[in-house]
Amino acid sequence: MTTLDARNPSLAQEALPAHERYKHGHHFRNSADEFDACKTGFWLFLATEVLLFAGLFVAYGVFRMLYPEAFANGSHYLDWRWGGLNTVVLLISSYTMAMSIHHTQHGRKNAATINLLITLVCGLGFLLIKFIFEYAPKWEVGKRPGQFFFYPFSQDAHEPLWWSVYYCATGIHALHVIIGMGLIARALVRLRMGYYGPKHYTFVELTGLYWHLVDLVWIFLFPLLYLIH
Amino acid sequence: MSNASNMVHGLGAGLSELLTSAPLAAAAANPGAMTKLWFRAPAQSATAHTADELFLFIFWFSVLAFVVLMFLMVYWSVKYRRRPGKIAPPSPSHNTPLEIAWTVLPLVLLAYIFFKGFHGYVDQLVAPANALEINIRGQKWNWTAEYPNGATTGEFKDTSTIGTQAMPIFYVPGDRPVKFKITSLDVLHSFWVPDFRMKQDAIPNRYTSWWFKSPAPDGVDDDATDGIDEGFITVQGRQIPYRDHWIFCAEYCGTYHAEMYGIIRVVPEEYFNEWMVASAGAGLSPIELGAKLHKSKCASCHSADGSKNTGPTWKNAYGYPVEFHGGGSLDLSDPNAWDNYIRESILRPQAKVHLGYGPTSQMQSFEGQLKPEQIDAIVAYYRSLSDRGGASEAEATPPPAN
Amino acid sequence: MSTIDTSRAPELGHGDHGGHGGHHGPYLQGKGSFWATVWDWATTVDHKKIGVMYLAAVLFMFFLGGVAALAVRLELLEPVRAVNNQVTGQMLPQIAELFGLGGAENAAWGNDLYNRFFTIHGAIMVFMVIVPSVPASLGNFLLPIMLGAKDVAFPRLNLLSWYVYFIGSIFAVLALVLGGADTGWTFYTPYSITTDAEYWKVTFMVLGAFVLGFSSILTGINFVVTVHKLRAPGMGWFDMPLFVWAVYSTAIIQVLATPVIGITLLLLIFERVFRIGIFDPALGGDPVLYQHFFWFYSHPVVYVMILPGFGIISELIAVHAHKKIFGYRAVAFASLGVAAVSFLVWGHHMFTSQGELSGAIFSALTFLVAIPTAVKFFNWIATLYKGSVAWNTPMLYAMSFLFLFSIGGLTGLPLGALATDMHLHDSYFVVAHFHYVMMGGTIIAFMGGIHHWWPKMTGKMYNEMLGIIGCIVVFIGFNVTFFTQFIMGVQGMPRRYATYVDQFQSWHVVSTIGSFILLVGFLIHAANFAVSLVMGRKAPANPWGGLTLEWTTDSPPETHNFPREPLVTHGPYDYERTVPPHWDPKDYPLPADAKSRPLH
Ligand code: HEA
Ligand code: HEA
Ligand code: CUA
Ligand SMILES: [Cu+2]
Repeated sequence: MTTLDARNPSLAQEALPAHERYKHGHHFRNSADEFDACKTGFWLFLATEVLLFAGLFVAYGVFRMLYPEAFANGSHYLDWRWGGLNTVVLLISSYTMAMSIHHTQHGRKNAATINLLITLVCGLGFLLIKFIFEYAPKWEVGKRPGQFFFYPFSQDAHEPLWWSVYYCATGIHALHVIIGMGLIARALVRLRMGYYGPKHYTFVELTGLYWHLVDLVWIFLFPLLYLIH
Repeated sequence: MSNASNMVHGLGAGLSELLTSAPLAAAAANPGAMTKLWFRAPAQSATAHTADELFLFIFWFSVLAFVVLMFLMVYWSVKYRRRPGKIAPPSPSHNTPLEIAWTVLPLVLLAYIFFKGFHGYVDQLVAPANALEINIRGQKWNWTAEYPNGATTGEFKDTSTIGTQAMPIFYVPGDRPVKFKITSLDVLHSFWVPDFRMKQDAIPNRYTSWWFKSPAPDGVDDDATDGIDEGFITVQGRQIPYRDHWIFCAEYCGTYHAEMYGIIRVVPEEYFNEWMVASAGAGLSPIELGAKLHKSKCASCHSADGSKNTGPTWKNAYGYPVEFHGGGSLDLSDPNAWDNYIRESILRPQAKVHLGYGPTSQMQSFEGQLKPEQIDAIVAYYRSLSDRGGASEAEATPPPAN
Repeated sequence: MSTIDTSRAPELGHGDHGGHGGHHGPYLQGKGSFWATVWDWATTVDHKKIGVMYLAAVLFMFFLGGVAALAVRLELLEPVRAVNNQVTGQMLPQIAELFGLGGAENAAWGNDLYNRFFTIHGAIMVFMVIVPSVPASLGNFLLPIMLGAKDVAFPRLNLLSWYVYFIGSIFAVLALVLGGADTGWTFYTPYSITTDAEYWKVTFMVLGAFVLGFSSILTGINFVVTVHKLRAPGMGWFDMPLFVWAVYSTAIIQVLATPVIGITLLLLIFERVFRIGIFDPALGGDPVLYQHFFWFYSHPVVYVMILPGFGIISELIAVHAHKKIFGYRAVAFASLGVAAVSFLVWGHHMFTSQGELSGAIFSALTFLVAIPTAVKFFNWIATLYKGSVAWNTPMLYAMSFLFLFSIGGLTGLPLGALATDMHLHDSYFVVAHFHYVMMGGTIIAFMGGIHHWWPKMTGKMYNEMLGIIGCIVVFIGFNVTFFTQFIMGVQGMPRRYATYVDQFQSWHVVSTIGSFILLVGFLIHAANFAVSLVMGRKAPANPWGGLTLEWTTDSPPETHNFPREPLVTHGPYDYERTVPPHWDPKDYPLPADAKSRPLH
C-alpha cells in the first residue's frame, strides 16, 4: 500500500538487503519519479523554512534601524570567537553530511556511517557551545529578553529588545539544529539496518538538504549578530 | 472570425437595450440624489469632495460593468439554454484582439482611479501651513483634545438616550483649516469623522495627522446638511450656530470600542476664539510649556535663537530639509516627518543624528522622563520657532504675555 | 427550465466491479464491522477519504461559525442604551439570562461577549473554514483523479495534514470553551498582548491558527508536487482542467505565504507568554511591524480563499454549458498572475497607518491585481455565448457566484483607492466587501462545487428542485444581509461595534433578518444532502456530461480511481468534438465533421 513495501519481503528476495528490495509507492510510475517528487517536495519545504527565517531577519533589520545604538551595544556583548567556532563546526558538519550521502550512493555503508556520526557530533558540539558558553553566562547576568532583562550595566534602554531578537533568532535556529540531529539519527539507524544503498537513499539525501539549510541560516545569523557593530 | 464579430454585435445590441432603461437614466441624471442615497449628506469638509466624486465615479463605473455582465449572463443563459437532443453549436474559444482589449481598457481606467485616489488622499493628509493644530490623544476608551493655548474640553453630550459612555464635545472653527495631530497612549485606536470622510490610526509612540476645512454653520438644517445635527446653542443670551459631527473610534480597542465616540462641533470662528481663550484655564499653553521645558532641559545644548551650540539650533529648523549621519535625509513629503523626528530624537537621540553633530550624538535619552503632553509641548515650541512651522499658533492664540 | 435527463445517460462498461478483484471496490465500501470501518477511515491514506473527512469537518466548522454569526447579528438588532440607569438592547446577555447564564445588567459584559463572538466567528470562518474549504476537501478528492493519478504524491503526509488540522481546531475550540478570545481575527498588537491577562484564551486561539498553518503548508506542498509529477500520459500542462490550475496556483501561495504567518504568530505567542517586546510599544516594539507581517500572509491568503473558487466556477460553467472555456490559457495564466501579484499588495489593509509613499505603491499594485480577475470574469461570461446551458443547481450557483463576487470585487476598488479608503477603512463597507467575496465568492462556489461533485463523491443524486430552492433562498438572504452593510458603512458605521448610534438601526434590523433567511437556505441544503445520503437515487457515472477524467470513473470511484492508467486523448473542454464518457452518442449528436474541424 505505502512506500514501505520493503517491510514485506517476499521469500525469494529474503537474501537481498532491504534497499535492494525497495519498491516505490504504487501511485508512482517508477522510483526515479518518486525520488524526484520527494526532492521537489522537500525543496518546497525548505522554501517555507527560508521564509520563516526571513521574518526574523526582517524584524532584525527593522529594529536595527529603529535602535542602532542598542543593537551596536548588543553585538559587542557577543564574543565573535564562540560564534566563529560554531560556524566552523557547522561547516565541517555540512561537509561530512555531503560525504555521507556520497558514500551511501556508492554503497559504502561504513564510510557513510562514520560521516553521519561526525555530523551528529558536530551538531551536538554546536549546541553545547551555544548553551554552555553563550546562553548560560549571559542569562545569569541578566542579559535576557524583554521583561526578564535585568543586566545592571546596560547602556541603552532598548537592549532588552536586542536580546529578544537574539534569543528568538538563535533559539529557533537551535531548535532546527535539534530537529536536524533527530533526522540524522534516524538516517543513521536505518542505514545500519540496511535500508539505504545505491538504489534507495532518498531520506539520507533529504536530511542532507535540511542540514545544509540549517548551516546556511547560521551563515547569515553569524555576521548579522556577531560582526556588524 | 465571423462568429466573434457576431458576438460583439450581440453585445452591442444588448447594451443599447440596457442604456435606454428608464430608472438607470433617471438616477444618472441626478448625482445629488446618489450622494444622498450613499452618504446621507454631502461631505462637510472642503477636501473630501474629491473622495466623494471618486466614490461615485467608481460606483457608476461598477454599475455599468455589473449590469452589462449580468445582462449578458442571463440573456445568453436563457437564449442558449439546453435543448434535449441538441448540442452547443461551434463557436470560437478565444479571440486575441478581444482579449487584449478587455485587459488593457480596464487597466487604463484603474490607472485613472488610482491617480485620482492618490491626489484626494494627499489633499486630505497634508495640511496647509496656517492650519490650527489640535492634539488628539486616544486612550481606552475616550478621546482628549488639546488646543494650542492649552485649552481642553470639559463639555459632554448628554448620552442618556444615545449610549452609556461619556461623549466629549470638541469645538472647532468653521471656514478655517484645522489639523488633528493624533497619537495614542495605550493600544491602537483610529480617529474617524465620517462627515469629513477621513480617519488616521492613533498609534503609540508615533504621530499621524489629517486636516479639514468645514464650512461655517448657519444653524439651519438645509439640503446640504440633511441628517446632520445643526442648530443654535445659547451662550450668555447669544444664539451661536453650530453643527455636530460624530467621531468614532475605528480601530478595535476592547470592551468599550463601540462607545469610544465624541462630537466635533463646528462653530463660527469668532465664537471659537472666544471659547478657546475662555477654556484655556490656568495652565500653560503647549508653546509656553515647551519654552519652559526647553529652558530647563534643552537650552544647554540647543539654542532657540540660531546661535551655535553642542546641538543644532531650533531656530528655523522645523520644516527645513535635514541630512543625517550615515546617509539619508528627512522625507519632507511626509507631513508628520518633522514631528516624528523631534519626538524620536527626544526619546532615542542616536536613531537619526543630524549631519555635523555626530557620528554619535552627545545627547542622552529622555525616555521615561517626559509625559506625552510635555513631548507634544516641546514639539509645538520647536515648531513655533521656525518660519516654516506655520503661523497657526501665533494667530490662534492671543500673543503670550511676555 | 430543463435539467439533464440523467436517467437516459447510459452507464457504459464500469457497471459491475466483478472483474477488478477484491479490494478494488468503491472507495466508500465499509470494512465489515463498524469499528473496523472507523479505524479504516482514521488511518486511511486514500485521498478521497481524506477529502471527504475534510469536507465533513469544514461543514461542521461552517455551522459553528454560522452560529456565532447569528449571535453577532442578534446583538446588533438593537443598540445598547442606558435608559433610567437600566441597560437595554443587550441581546446576547438577555438571551444568556433566559438560559440562566448570568445577568444583563452589566454593560461591559455584553460588549465583551459580543467581541468574543465576532472574533470566534472571524477566526473559525477564516482559519478553519474558508482556507481549507475547497483545496482540502474538493481539491483532495479531485486533484489526483483529474490528473489521472492514483493518489496525491505523498499520501501519508496528506493524512498528517488532516490530523494537524484536527489538532489546530482543538486548540481553537479550547480557547472557545475557556471563554473565547476577544482580539478580532487579526490579533492586532498591542491589544492582543495586553488583553486577557491570564492569557490562555488568546494564546490558545493564536496557537490554533499557528498549527493550522502547518496543515495548509503540507497540503500545498503535496499538491504542487502532485501536479508536477503525477499527470497521466498525454496530459500536458494545457490539458489540465482549470480547477487543477487554480488549486495549483493556490498551493503555491499556501507554501510561500504561510511560513510568514507562522513566525508572526510564534513571535506573538512569545510576546504574550514572555513579554519579549518585539510588537509591544510599551517595551519599544513596533505594532505596525506586526501589521506588515500579518498582512504579508493574510492578503495572499484571500487569494488562497478565492482561486479554488474560481477553479470550481470554470468547471461548472464549462460542464453545464457544454462549451470549451473561452480563453483557456488566459484563465490559466490569470490564476498564476493573481498568485504572483498578491504578494505585493498587503499594505492596502494599512492605508491609515502608514506613510504616503508606501500607500501610493500599495494602492497602485492593488489595482494591478484586479486585472487578471476581471479577465477571468469576461472569459466566463463569454463562455456562455452559444453554449447549451443547463439550468440546474450547480449552474445556478455559478451564476449566483458571478453576481455576488463581481459586487464584492468591484467594491474592492474604492477600498484600494487611497482617498476613498480613508473614509471606508474599518467600516461596515469593508465588512460587506469581504463577505461578498468570501461568502458570496468562495462559499457560494463551494456550495456549487459540492452539488456538482456530490454524485461523484457519494454515488447518490440529490433532489434537484430542493437544491434550486435552497440556492435561491441563500441568494436572497445573502443580499438582504450584506447589501445593507455597504450602505451603513458608507454612512459611517464602524466595524467591530457592539452597539451603535440610532441612525443605523433600521439597516441593522434588515441585515439581521437576512441572516436568518440565510440560515433557512443552508438548512434546506443540509436536509437535501441528508436525504440524498439516506435514500438518494443511485448516481450515474457522468450525470452532467463532463469531459474531465473524474467523469470517466465510477460514481463513487473505486479505491484506486481507475482500473488502469488513463490515456488522455482530448482536452478537458473539447465539447465540440467529443461525446462525454458514459454517454450515448444518440444523446449527444456531434456534427459529422466534428473530428476534422480544427480546435481553434
Ligand atoms: C476571498 C477573499 C477576498 C478577495 C478575492 C478580495 C479581493 C479584493 N480585495 Fe479584499 N478583503 C478581503 C477578502 C478578499 N478581498 C478581506 C477578508 C478583507 C478584510 C480583512 C479585515 O480587515 O478583516 C479585505 C479588505 C480589503 C481591503 C482593505 C480595506 C480596509 O480595511 O481599509 C482592500 C483595499 O484595497 C481590498 C481590496 C480588494 C481588491 C481590489 C480585490 C480584487 O482582487 C477584486 C477583483 C475583482 C473584481 C474587480 C470584480 C470582478 C470583475 C469584473 C466584474 C469585471 C469588471 C471590472 C473591472 C474592469 C475592474 N480588500
Ligand atoms: C468565510 C468567511 C465568512 C463567512 C461565510 C461569514 C458569514 C457570515 N458573517 Fe461574517 N465575518 C468573517 C468571515 C465570514 N463571515 C470575518 C473574517 C469577519 C471579521 C471578524 C473580525 O472583525 O475579526 C466577519 C465579521 C462579521 C460581522 C461584523 C462583526 C463586526 O465587525 O462587528 C458580521 C455582522 O453582521 C458578520 C455576519 C455574518 C453572517 C450573518 C454570516 C452568514 O452568512 C452565516 C450564514 C451561515 C449559517 C447561518 C450557518 C448555517 C450552516 C448550516 C446549517 C450547516 C451547513 C451545512 C450544509 C450546507 C451541508 N460577520
Ligand atoms: Cu478606541 Cu476603538
Ligand atoms: Cu487584501
